[in-house]
Formats: sequence, structure tokens, C-alpha cells
Amino acid sequence: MEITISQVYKSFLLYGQRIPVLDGISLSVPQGRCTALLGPSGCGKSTLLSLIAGFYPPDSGSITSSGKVSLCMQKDMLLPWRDLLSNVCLPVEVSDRNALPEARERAASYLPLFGLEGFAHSYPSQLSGGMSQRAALLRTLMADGDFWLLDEPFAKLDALTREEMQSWLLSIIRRFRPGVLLITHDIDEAIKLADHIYVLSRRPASLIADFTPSDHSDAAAISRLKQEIHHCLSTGA
Amino acid sequence: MPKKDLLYPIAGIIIFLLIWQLVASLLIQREWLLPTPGAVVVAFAENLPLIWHHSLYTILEAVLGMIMAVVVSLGFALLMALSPAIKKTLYPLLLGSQMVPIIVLAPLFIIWFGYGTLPKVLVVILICFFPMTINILAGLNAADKETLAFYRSMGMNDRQLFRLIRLPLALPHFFSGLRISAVYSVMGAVIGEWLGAQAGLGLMLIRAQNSFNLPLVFAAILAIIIWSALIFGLVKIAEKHCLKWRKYLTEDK
Repeated sequence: MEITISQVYKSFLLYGQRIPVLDGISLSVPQGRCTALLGPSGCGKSTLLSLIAGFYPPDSGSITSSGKVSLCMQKDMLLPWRDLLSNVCLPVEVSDRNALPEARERAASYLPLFGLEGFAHSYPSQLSGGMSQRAALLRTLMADGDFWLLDEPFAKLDALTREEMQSWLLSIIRRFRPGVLLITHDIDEAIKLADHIYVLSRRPASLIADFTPSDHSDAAAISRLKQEIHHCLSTGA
Repeated sequence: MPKKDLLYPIAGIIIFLLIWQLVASLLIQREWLLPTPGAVVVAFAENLPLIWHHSLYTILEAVLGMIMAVVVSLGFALLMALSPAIKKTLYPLLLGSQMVPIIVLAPLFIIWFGYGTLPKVLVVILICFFPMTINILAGLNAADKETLAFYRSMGMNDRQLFRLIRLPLALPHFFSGLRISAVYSVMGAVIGEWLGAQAGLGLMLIRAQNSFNLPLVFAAILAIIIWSALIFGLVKIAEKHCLKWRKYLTEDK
């Protein structure tokens, strides 16, 4: 199973002018691994994700996915009138209502793992930013996708919470082994979470490099990698 | 509402009554021109059976009209949300219906439908349906593109999007409209009665006015205010009950 993106071009019409956003992107997201898409803000990362999610088609090129894709956005997208459990089970309710009772039980059993124990019947407005984002990830899990598309899921959180959330997400990914496409502009986040990192240029985005963080325990290697990526991003080559 | 917040409206009412009392008892000094608040309360108490009798008709018309206005506005809003063509067709007509003075339309209703309940209910519907229609429509269209795209990617079809996202999103808007309608509904019924009726607070008002019984006029006004406030309160309670999740929004965030 794999998401394959080949030679994807996309542009938008803005005030009568064509703005190219994606300039021939080719990459693949393998099953059970975490792939990061790293690029400067506004480079078109989210556009690529929207294409994969099928929000709109590419101008040319192809995107194929051999598995089910579920999405988690920067905004938590929790419905304010539903309690937490009903929110996270929404994908099941949509696809198969009969499976809902079983899904609610399963979701309830995951609550401690997602740091949401005791909040099953709380409304989103009662949750903190970090909790809301974990709830959004639990909903992504409940969607039972083979691939998780994570669009800067922690961008809205403060730095301290973000670091905690990254470590936590790593444990979740290791446990459930989805194929992950993580979109981020945070080099540390990419290195910490991803098995493979694609670096995108400024808009129009094209791939300028890719890295494979090998040993996460080797601090010197990590810092070297970080510098390399940083250089890559700042020079655009 | 916390106790402290209740202080201000009560203070406002007391100040208003005090000024009224002073103006009526010191400046005007003629009950047939401006009765004091005390005289109004006395008239209200003395005529309670009469007020109650006429109120029943008015409230029936107001509540019936409001319920039918809910149905009508739901119908219009759903149709208009479903198709932009329908929306463009209906919108100027609905807007136009609000531009014709009720005082012109009500006599026509009486010519067409007689002096019974129906023309009054029609006036209430005409006054009440518009704020609800506009609010429900806004609510149904409140979801942004990104939100809808997200839930579509979750597998929702148009019907599920409507039922699970757009309809619940419209509910708070619906209640905003309903609250406005609640305030106007009794007034609408009274206007309808004013222009020709066999019973109702509007008729009672005309009779009291024609006999220069101003304490009774004000007593009728008091009854209208009390009933309107009661209907408004019921709508607020229903709203609180239906939108339980909202009460956390105002707290600590």
C-alpha cells in the first residue's frame, strides 16, 4: 500500500492571474512509515495535502492511493455541539451507523492513551488546545484509514505543549503503524517524527532534497542533519 | 443570569417607574391624561378577569402564528439553501413582504378572511417569519468551504453534510430569529385585533381608549408586555435546553 504522487502541477487563479503553486512534485508515502513534507510557510504544502485528500484535482499529474486516507488539519474541526466521544466516532457514524456502538466502546478505551480520560462527555469548548488536537487525532484513528494526512497538527499550540505532543504522537504512530504524511514547517518536528523527509522550495513548490534521519539517539548526527536541512531551506537548493 | 447582572435591569425599571410616578402625580395630575403606575396596577387588578378573557384570544393568535411562522420560515430557508436559483427568485419577494406596512395589509386580511382568528394569525406570521427565515438561511450557509471539504473527505455525502453539519450549525441562528419573533408575536396579534376583532387585547385597548379609560389602556399594555416577556422567556429556556453545549463558550474562554 502506498500513496504515489507523480509530476503533480497545480496553479490557482488570483485576480485574473495564474499563480503556480506546485511545480512538478513527485513523491511516495509508504505504508507504516512517517513521511514528512517540510517547507517554508505558504509554499504550497497544504495544497498538496488538499489534492491528496481530493478537495480538488491537480492541473496535471497523478495522485494514486491504494489505501484509505484520513485527514487531520491545523484546526481541530471538532463539532462544538457534539461531545468528545460523538465527535471522535463521527467517521464511523458516517460510514456505517451499525458499527457505532462498538466504535464508541473502542474509542472510550483509547481515551487514556490520548490523554482524554474522563472527558468522554465534555464538549470541545471545555477542552484545552492540546486536548482538542489529540481528540482530532483520535478521530483520525477512528476513521480507520491506512494513511493519516497530518497538516501541521500542532501549529496552533504553544511551544511547550507542541514538544510534548510531538513525543506523544511518535508513540501513537509507533503503536498503530499508519502510513503518515506529516506536513510541517518545523525542522525539529520533522526530524523527531519522520522516517523520511522531503524538503520543498518556496512557491512554486518543487522538491529540492530528501533526507532519511537514521539514528535518533545520535545527537551529533541529528544536529548535522538539522543544519543541512536548514541550509537547504534557506538557499533553496 | 448571575444576581449581580439582574441588578441593572431592575434598577432601570425602578428609575423609569419613579420618573413616571413623579411626572404623573406632580406635573400632569390628571388620571385621564396620564395615570400613575399605581393607578395602572390597580386597574390591572380590578380588570383581571376581563384582561384574562381577552388575553386568551391574543395569546392563541400569537402562539399559533409563531408556530406557523416557524414552519413557513423553515420551508423557505430550506428551499433557498437548496438552490441559489430559488433563493434569487424568492428573496426580493420576501424582502418586499416586509416593506409593506402591516397597518395597510391587516385591513385587507379582514376584508378577505373576516373578523375571526385567521387574519390575526396571518399578521403574526407575516411579522415573525422573516427574521427566522433570514437567520436559518444564514445558519445553513455558515459552514466555510474548508470545513465542508474536510467532512466530505471523511466520506459524508450531501445529505449527511446537511444533517450532521449544516442543520445543527443553523440551530443557534434559528433561535436568534425565534427570539426576535417572540418579541413581536403578541404585538402582531394586537395590531391584527386593533383593526377589527370580536375579542382580544387589541379590541380591549380600542374600547378603553374610546371611553378615555387610560388606566385600563395602560393595564392592557402591561398585559401585552407580560405576555411577550413570557413567550420570550419560554423561547430562551427552549434555546438553553437545545444548545446546552453553548453555555461553556462564554465561561473562562
